[in-house]
Order: sequence, then C-alpha cells, then structure tokens
Amino acid sequence: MADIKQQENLVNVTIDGRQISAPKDATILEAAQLAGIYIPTLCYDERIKSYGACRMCVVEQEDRPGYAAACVTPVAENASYITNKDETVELRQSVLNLLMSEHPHGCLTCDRIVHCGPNDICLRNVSVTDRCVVCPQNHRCELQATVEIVGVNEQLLPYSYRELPIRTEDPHIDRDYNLCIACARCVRICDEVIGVEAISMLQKGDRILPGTPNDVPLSDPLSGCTFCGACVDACPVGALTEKENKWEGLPDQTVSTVCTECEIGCQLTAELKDGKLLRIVPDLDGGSNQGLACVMGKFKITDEALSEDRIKHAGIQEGSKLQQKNLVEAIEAAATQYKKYSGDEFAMVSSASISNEDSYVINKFAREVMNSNQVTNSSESLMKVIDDNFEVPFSSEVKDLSQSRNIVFLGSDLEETHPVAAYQIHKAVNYNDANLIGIGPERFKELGRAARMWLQCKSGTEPLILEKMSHYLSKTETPFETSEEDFIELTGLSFDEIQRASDFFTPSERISFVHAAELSSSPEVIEKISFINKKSNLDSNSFIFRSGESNSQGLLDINDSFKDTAIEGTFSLDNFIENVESNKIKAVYWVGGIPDISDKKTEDLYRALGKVEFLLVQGTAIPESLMDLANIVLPQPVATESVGTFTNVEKRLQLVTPIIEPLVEADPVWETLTALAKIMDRDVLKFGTSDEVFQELASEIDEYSGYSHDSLRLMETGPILK
Amino acid sequence: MYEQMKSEADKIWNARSNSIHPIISVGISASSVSVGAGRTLARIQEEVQQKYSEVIVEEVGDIGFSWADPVVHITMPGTPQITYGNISEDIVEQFLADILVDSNLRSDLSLGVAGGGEFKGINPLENQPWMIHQKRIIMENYGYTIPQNLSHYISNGGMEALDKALNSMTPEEVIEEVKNSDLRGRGGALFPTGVKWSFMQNAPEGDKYLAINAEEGDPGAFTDVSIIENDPYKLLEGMLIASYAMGCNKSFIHVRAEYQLAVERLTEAVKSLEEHNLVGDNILGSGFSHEIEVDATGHAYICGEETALMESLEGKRGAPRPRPPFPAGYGIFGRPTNINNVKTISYVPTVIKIGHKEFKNIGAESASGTALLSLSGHINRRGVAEIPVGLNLSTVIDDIGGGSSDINGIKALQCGGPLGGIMSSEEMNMPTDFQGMSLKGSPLGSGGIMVVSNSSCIVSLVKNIAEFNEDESCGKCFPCRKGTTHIVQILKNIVEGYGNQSDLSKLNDIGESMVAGSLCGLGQLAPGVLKNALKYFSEEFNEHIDEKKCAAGVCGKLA
Ligand SMILES: Cc1cc2nc3c(=O)[nH]c(=O)nc-3n(C[C@H](O)[C@H](O)[C@H](O)COP(=O)(O)O)c2cc1C
Ligand code: SF4
Ligand code: SF4
Ligand code: SF4
Ligand code: SF4
Ligand code: FES
Repeated sequence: MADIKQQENLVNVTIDGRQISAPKDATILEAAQLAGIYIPTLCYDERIKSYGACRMCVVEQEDRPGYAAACVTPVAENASYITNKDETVELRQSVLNLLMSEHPHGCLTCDRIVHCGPNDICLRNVSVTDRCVVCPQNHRCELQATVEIVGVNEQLLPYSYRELPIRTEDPHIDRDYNLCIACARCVRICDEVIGVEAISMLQKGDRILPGTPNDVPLSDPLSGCTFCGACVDACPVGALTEKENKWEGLPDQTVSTVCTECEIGCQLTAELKDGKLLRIVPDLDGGSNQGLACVMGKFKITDEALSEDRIKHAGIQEGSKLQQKNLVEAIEAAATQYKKYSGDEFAMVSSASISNEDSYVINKFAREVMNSNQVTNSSESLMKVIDDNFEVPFSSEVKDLSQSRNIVFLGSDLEETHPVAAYQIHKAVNYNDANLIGIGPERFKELGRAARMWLQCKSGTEPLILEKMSHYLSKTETPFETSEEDFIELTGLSFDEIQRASDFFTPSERISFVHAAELSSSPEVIEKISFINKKSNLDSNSFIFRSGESNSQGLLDINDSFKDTAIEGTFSLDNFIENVESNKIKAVYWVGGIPDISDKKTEDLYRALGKVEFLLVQGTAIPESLMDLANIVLPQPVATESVGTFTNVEKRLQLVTPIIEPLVEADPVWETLTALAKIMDRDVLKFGTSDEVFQELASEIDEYSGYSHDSLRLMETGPILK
Repeated sequence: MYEQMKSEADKIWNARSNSIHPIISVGISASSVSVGAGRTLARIQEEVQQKYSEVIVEEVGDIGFSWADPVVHITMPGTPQITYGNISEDIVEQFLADILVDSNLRSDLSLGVAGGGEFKGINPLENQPWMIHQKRIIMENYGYTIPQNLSHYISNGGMEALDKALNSMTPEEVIEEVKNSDLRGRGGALFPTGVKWSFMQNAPEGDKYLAINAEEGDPGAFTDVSIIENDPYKLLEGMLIASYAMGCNKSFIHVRAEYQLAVERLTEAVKSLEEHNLVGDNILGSGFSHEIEVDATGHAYICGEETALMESLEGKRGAPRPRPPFPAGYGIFGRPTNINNVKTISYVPTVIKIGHKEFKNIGAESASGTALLSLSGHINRRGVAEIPVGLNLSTVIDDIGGGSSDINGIKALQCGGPLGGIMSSEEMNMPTDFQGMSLKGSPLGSGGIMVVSNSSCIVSLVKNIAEFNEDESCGKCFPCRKGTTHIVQILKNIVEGYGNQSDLSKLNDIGESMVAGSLCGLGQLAPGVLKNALKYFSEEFNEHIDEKKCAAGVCGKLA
C-alpha cells in the first residue's frame, strides 16, 4: 500500500540523459541532487525557500525555448533537462562576469589562487581589497567554488569596489558589504525561518544591499537580532563572517557534537584547528535542528567552560574555610564520610542537565553502593506528571512542526527557551501557510507577530481557553461548563473571540498544540491539557517543551528503569526536603546548582541543606551560598569537555563529543562515583569509560539497547527511541 | 432590479439633457489640471456665481484631447453640446460673455459639436480628423458624463452587461463568450483573456481573487489612469463580470497613490456601488457576492509586473516571484488569483453586451477590439485615442496626432514604453497592430507611442531609457541588476565620447544574457529598445564612436 502511494507521488524525468524518478513536487535542482548531478547555485540554500535570483542554476528543457532556473522550477512529468549545454555554460559565465564586476575578484581569475597565502606577495599586483587570499572566507567561499567550476577566465567588464565601511561594531558577527552579492540568503533566513527580520534588502536595482533598519548595529534593539548566526552560515561569500577566529583559516579537523543548552539538542559540527575550536556550524543533517541553532549553540557553546564562576579545584571545608585539595584527597575524604552512612540516611540529587551515563551511575551508586532509593533530579516530578498524562508527549519530531497547518501555541517565551522550535513554527507559517493562534497573557515577540490571532488572556487561564477552543473545534454536543459571564471574568476574553480564533483552522487538518516551558512547568496545567486533549477527540499532536534542562527525558528513562528495584514509591525534591527536616537524611551527594524553583521552595531547600550532616557538591559552577554549606566540593567537566549521551525532547538519543581541551582537571560524575565506590570497597561499579557505562545502561533499558557510542558516532543523526 | 435602477438613472440623465439652464462642463483629469483646467473651472464658477446664476457648472471626464486642454463643453437649452479647446483661465470672462450674453458661439475656439450634424458653421466633432478614425468603446463616455455619477453611467448603457451576465448567463458561458471574442490582455503580453480566466475554474474551494493592474508605470503612458479618472464604472462593471465568471469573492485594484484624482473618483465610485448593492452580497439578486478593495500604494515601476504586484498587495517589498507557481494556482496570500490590466477588463462589459461576434468585427485578425493609445513626444496632438486595431500607423500619427510638432520631421517611433522597442519612421505605413509592430521591433505593448523627431539623438534617447530601466530594476536577479548598470555605463561612455567599437559587442552580449537569464519581464525586455536602435540607427552609434560626433547636437560633449 505504502509503495503504491509512493509511486503515485513520483514522476519520471531525464536529466542529462539519465532517467530519474523524483518526488512530484521536487524542483529540477532537487531531482538532480538526488541523482548526484551537479548544478551550480549561489542563491540557493536548502534551509529556505528558493528564490531564483542568481540564475546560476539555469538549465534547458528539451523542445522548449529559453532557460528554466532549476532551483525554482518543479519537474514536469517525462520532461528531459540538459544542465550543461555550451550555451547554458556560456550564459552562466556571462552572469558570473556581470557579478564579478561588483565583487573583488583579482584572485578568482588567477590560477595561482591555490598557492597564495595572505602574506605572500601578489605576482600580478592585484590590489589588497581585490584579493581572495585576504578574505576570511577564502576557500570556503561559494563564489570562488562556482567560478572555478563554471570556469570564468577573464573579467571583461570594469570592476567597481563599493567602498563601504566594514561593520565590526557587533559581537560575534562582522559585516563587509563590499563583498555582498545581494543573494538575500541572510535576509530570507532571518525573516522566514528565524522570524526576526533584523535585516532586509534595502534600496533597489544595483544599489540593493541587505541592512538593518536605519543602519543601526545588529545589537541595537531596533534590529532585534538574536545572534543566532543563521545569516552568517547562509552567506555564500565573505560578507558576513564570525568575528571570533576570523583569520584562522580552514580547520584541520571537524567533530560532530550536540548542544546541551536546552532539550532540543541541536546537532552541530565543530571546526577545530590545532585542537582549538574555530567555529560551530549547525548540522544540516541534524534531526531536530536541520542546520539551525540559536546563539547558545552557535556562539556561546564554550561560555560555560569559560565561566568566571567555574569550579576549578576540589575543596574540603576545614574550619569555616574551603581548602583547596587535589582530587584524590577529596575523594578519599568523601569515602571516609559516606562509609558512615547507609540506606535512607543517604540521598542523591542532580540537575537534569547531566548525561545519561552520569545519571545511570548516580542511580547505581545510590541504590547499590549506598542501598538508598532516594535518588531524584530537578525535573523528576514534572516529568512524572507529563509521563503519566501523555502516552507519548512528543507524538512527532520537532521538525514536524514546520509541516503543521494549524498550530495553537500556549505560553510566550519559546523563542527564549527553545529557539529552534520557534524557528520550526515560523517555517510552518511562512512555507506552509499555517494558521498560528497564540494563547497567553502577552503577545510575545516573533511568534506574536507571526500569529493570525493572539488570545491575550489573564495569566493561568490558558487551559480554560484551550478547553473552550477544543469545544468549538471538536463540535461537541456536551455543554461547556463555565458560563460566558464567568469565562469573561476569569480570562478577560469572550466566547466570540475564542470562536473567531477557532475559525482560522483548516478543518480536516491536524492541529498541533505547542506548550511553552513556563506553562508546562505546572503539573496542574499539564493534567488539564491532557484531559482536554483526550476528551476532545481531535486529530491533534502535542509538543510539550519543558524547563531549560537538557536531559529531562534521559533522566526519566533511567530513573524509571530502576523503579522496579525501588522499595518505596517515587522520590522527589519535596520528599528530599521533608526527609532532611525529619533528620532521616544525613548524607547527601548533590550534583549541579540550585534548580529553578519558586523562592519559597528555594528557601526551604537551603534550610534543609544546612541541616545535612555531610554534603558533597559536584558541579561546574556552584553558587556561593551552596558552596558555603558543602563539606566537600568537586569540580565537574562541562558537556563540551566530555563524552556522553543525552536524550532530547523528541526522545532522540544523541552523542555529545568533546570539542575543547578540558580547562579544569575534573572527573565526570560517573567516574568520580566509580572511584568513590572502589575506595569504599564496594566493588559494584566497574566502569573504565563512558561508553562502558552506556553499554551496561543499554543492556538494562530496552529502548536504549542495540546502541553504543561507536554506533551513534556513525549515524547521520541520533535515533528516536520508541 | 436592474430595470428599476435604469429607469431611475434615465430620469436623472434626461433631466440633465433637457435642462432649461445652460450647462457648462469642464473636462477635469490630472492631465488637464496640469495645464490649468482646474483654474479654468474655478474662474468659470466665479463668473457664474457673480453674473450667470442660472447656469449649471459641472466637472466631467476628460475627452482625451490633452493638446486642447483645458477643454470646456457648453450646452445651451435646446441646442447640441459644443466642445471648445484651449480655454485658459484668462479668456474665461470674455468667452462666457460672448456665448452667454452675446450668443456668439465662438466657432474660432470650438473643436466640434456633438450629435453628428453641423451646427451654425461648427463641424460635427466626430468628423474632425482627430476623431473620424477613432472607434470609442472604452472611451465612449469620456467627456460626456460625470465620472463618479452612477446614474450617468447606467443611463448611458452601463450595468446592462452586468445584469445580463449575472442573471442570464452561467459563469462558464461568460468565460466562453470572452474566449470567443478573442479579447487579449492589454497589459502588454496579449495573452487571451478568456483562456487566462479559465485557469481559475479548477481552483480549489475558498477565497479567489481578481487583481487589477493599474500601475501603468511606463513614462508617457496614461490610458489606464484615464479610464479610472474618466469612467471608473467601466472598469468596475468589467471587474464584477470577470469575478462572477471566475468565482472571485474579492478583487483588488492596485493603483498608484500619487494618482490622487483617480483614487478619489475610484473610491467614490466603489462606495456608490456598495450603496446600490452592486458590490456586496447578492448583487442584482443573482446570489453572487463580491467585495472590492482599492489599494493605493507607493509607485514602483516593477510593481506593474504581475508577481511583484501580488507581493506589493500583500504588503511586501515589490519584487517578482518565480513562476511557476502561476498566480491562478498560488496568488495573493497563496490564493488563486487572476491579474488583468485596466483596459483588458474595461472591454468586458462591451464584449458581453454586444456579443463575441460583433466584438470580433472590430479590430484586426491578430487582435480584436480597439487599441487605446497614449500619444506623446514630438507630435502635435498629444493625448489618449482609441482606434480599431489595424488602423494605419501614419493615419494615427498624421491625422489623429496631427503630425510632427518639430519642423525637422519624425525620425522614429518609440513604442511600448521603456521595455518596448523603437522603429524608424520609414516603416510607418503599416497597420497599428500588436503583432505586426512587434515584428518591426517596436511592440505596441500597453499602447504608448512616443514620437521622436529628427532633432533628437537616438543614442542619448536609448541611454535615457536604459537609465530608467536601471533605476527601476528591482535588483533581485543578477543579470538584470548588473546588466542594466553596465548598459548605462557603456552608453554614457559613448555619449561622452569615450566609446569604442568593442562596446557595441559588449552591449549586445549583456543584452543577450539579460534576455536569456533574467527572472522577470523587466530584465528580459529591457534590452529591446537598445537592440532595435542598434539595428535601425547603427550609423548614429558609429558616428558617436568613430567620429566622436552627435549630428543632432544633443550630446553636449560631442557637439
Ligand atoms: C516590468 C514590467 C512592468 C509591467 N507593468 C505593467 C503595468 O504597469 N500595467 C499592466 O497592466 N501590466 C504590466 N505588466 C504586465 C503584467 O505583468 C501582466 O502581464 C498584466 O498585468 C496582465 O494583464 P493582461 O492579461 O490583462 O494584459 C508589466 C510587466 C513587466 C515585466
Ligand atoms: S544573527 Fe540571526 S537574528 Fe541576527 S540578523 Fe542573523 S539571522 Fe537574523
Ligand atoms: S550578506 Fe551574504 S547572504 Fe546576505 S545578501 Fe550579501 S552575500 Fe547574500
Ligand atoms: S535551540 Fe537549544 S539545543 Fe539548539 S542551539 Fe539553542 S540552546 Fe542549543
Ligand atoms: S529582471 Fe530585473 S526587475 Fe525582474 S526580478 Fe530581475 S532584477 Fe528584478
Ligand atoms: S540557485 Fe537558482 S537562481 Fe540562484
């Protein structure tokens, strides 16, 4: 059945004499790419809508006059295309000739280009502003490559340099519009995908160039730039470049890794030279991000490692002062302490931004070394509620959002917490004409702009509005329990407004409900939403984005797998505070900082931690107030320094690979605990590498079985676990 | 419903025709106002207020004789309307006194008399050399009715076609009728209108739009704006019929905001259609509903290109979209959209009223109907004229246009605007016909004919046109953005005396790349004038290059 369907959606075409079957809605360029046939392009970027401006991709169709731009022209059934006739190549050459009259090209037409370095003396006396070898984009420039492949040997038209000042006033991004070829890739990705419209094409005709409103710096609020870097990655030439390591040239090594700043887990390629990180390029193959990232993954990935608050040494509290110790000493001291406790006297609490391996060993250590079931993490209770209420919280992949036609968005700050998810919504709106309706107290930023309508309600009444909306959408007969008067009083909105919003949706097409983190952080809201979804019987899928912690899903999976051995039920942060207050818990191993909880709870937590007899804190950066309470402090490597797996919001298992040399001498949590157990003579933890931890974990948890670090490394993108 | 409307309209019109008071009407359009018609009107109103209180003064549409503006029409009770030309404000007082007090008909200032017969020594207007060859379909009401007055329009045969289409024809029959009439798009490309409409028939459920292209950015083209100013209902009736045929629930008129008078009259006309339920729900009781939006936007030449027009209507930067997808599949806001020129749609009421057979009898084999021409440049009678397609071009220039305004005679005709072409005056003995003139290298396009006299320099003219295209290129696609610039640069060199022969082959190469490689019509057509100038006037180029001489003495540096 599926096969037949697929065949119906394929068409047969011939490109350069080769028979190709391509999807019905494919462009000539896509069909050619499928068959590995090269067609030059300059304004094409697979992450954005084709534009048809550079005309490099012109091809001929047999028996038709003129040329078609392959990037924008859909394939026609049984058509035959020729990509490389002499006339076509000549047309490309002459357009390149026109283009090179506005772009420095002294080196482009010189056959010495491969030999020259930036400091070599030019044998042809090409002026400095006209040389590729002094361009930061040298050898990664698409214009260079295209000129070489299409073959332009001499420049016939007079060249004029724009003489514009180079814009270096912004962080991360430098702009030199003297090199711009006006392909609008930067503008299009910023507008269509990032949704920011920080830049636009200004002027017309030959004066056309991208720029910010009033030519303000990108960092000016008027531009609204979020420094996601998408424009830099999109720029085919050296007009937009990364400020950091601008002149370092090409990398000698690339490493595939994953950003652990949020639970999207963008897949990234790190470019290194002599072991030093030059730049990050979001991976086009990335399962959740498809070539996109936000400022965290693109420019700030090493911030955590370089943080001024970084814990650099182990320390032991002596008197009322933390004394610097070496790691071995500190671990030995900890072993001596922990030996004094067992069972319920011990508890372990971690953040939810640690690797699966760390989490697995934490559970093993607590349960098998210390015989305590009191293990929890900061997202545990919330994840439980989500898990209990939604069979599959993520019925789809993040990228499926871009295919939605109907989207209800609840909350506000998705751009901040899960930027790449917000980009996928922009894609849906811009490329798929999706109807986006927002529900939340504030019409927020880019999504607010993209929404057809925003139901601006009183805070906390989103579920009630959602309920009314599903009532309209599913056309249920059962009466709505809240009267309109009460409804207006509670939400600030009338039935009519909800009806109008509901009317935007294309009936018969699935509705995607997207819940932003600040909403899903409330268990009551989650329960309500799930109840509404189940009751309404709508064809829908839900996307629930949670706290900023990047491995909530992995921790849930691992903790769950230990539940069978649990003596009592689940253990949460609240239970932890309770049990410390009642003097049950005496020794604690704490990983990470203080979780993002209410002020009241933070206060309770601090009071409890103050009562603990022995507190060890391991972390990368720990607040002063927590350090003061700790008996022993241990440093921890950051994600960019260590290897480990994370499971993202889609339940995609991904391998994080180190991309920088460790800046601090520290062992990861799993390794520290392994050493600790050994010193304590409890010989249950026998791990030599993170991969060994993973393999044991995989043998214990069904969904994770069959994978290893090595197998993940070989995969284009991480698998989604069932 | 229509009958009642018609009889009420007739009452109003007849009362006016049988007025016992003299009626003075002044042709008011942006063009006539620019040469003083507004001041003439004000003067007349002043005089009338002070001296002739029984006289009725009216603002009517412009009859199309820009060369004779300000034009004033006077109807004395019981006599036919007489049309006068060149009534500037300073002669108003004497003129009125002569006619109203002394019963002196001032035949010296008259252009002709309405009604077909001679009147007291004044010739019938329709027999005048500039009128006798015209065939006015679209322009039938120009100068006779008050443009915004719906009753005037209805009483003169308006809305009869709408009633016929809505209440006695199916949408398919309307499309069939338009197809059979062989009406072709007057925006320049001459695409068969009925065929284009039929693409909309297969569109999916939901909103469908009609967009009217009234951008008319060609310098020296003013036919579209003349329709909107002088008989907006013609366009609106055509739009309603077209929308009914295609099933469009909404239409947009994209008009340049700086055409203030046009926007004003159009908006007023739409409002009065709404008031009379000719726009809105259940029009003329037919069950067909329609909404019309007047979109007055800033001017950019490229917004006349249909895909850029749609972008502009969506509130975006006016830059062309690639095709496919074609508008009928993916148009404004992604909905099926049909785009037509103002003139094209203004023919529709006539096609429906007289039927395809009779319509096809007008015009020529290659295109039925008439051609609306904007005559400009070195010609005596500038203005708008409507001729049957195929009328001899010399007749147009010499009789309608009154020949060259320059004693040195005519050198060339530059037709179809900056994206059109140019032909030598030696070729003028040919039919004024869309196809034939294209073959000569000077396509009629949207009807602009600019007469170029022997005192002009072709190279400099071509350079000016190239500069226009450079300015108006939207800059999106590389061949046009760079090509237009280099063409200007090279032509500038030539007129300044720095040209050499290799420039000519460069111009040719760039032109070819633009034609083959550009994304939209602007880049593809921009080299047209240049190419034909090189063909017909190569000796002028060579003279500039080899002898550094400009025979016309226009290129300052070479004089
Ligand atoms: C650069 C450019 C400018 C154009 N300007 C106009 C214009 O001002 N008015 C117009 O009707 N058509 C213009 N056209 C043609 C339109 O794209 C389109 O063909 C026309 O509106 C279709 O209407 P029709 O079928 O009634 O002729 C222009 C085309 C190009 C390439
Ligand atoms: S960094 Fe991101 S937000 Fe800023 S201009 Fe570039 S694409 Fe737009
Ligand atoms: S800055 Fe780069 S991406 Fe943007 S238009 Fe210029 S060349 Fe294209
Ligand atoms: S969206 Fe999340 S995972 Fe992706 S780069 Fe930003 S912080 Fe990292
Ligand atoms: S041909 Fe010229 S006007 Fe048309 S899209 Fe290209 S640059 Fe713009
Ligand atoms: S890649 Fe097709 S036009 Fe630029």
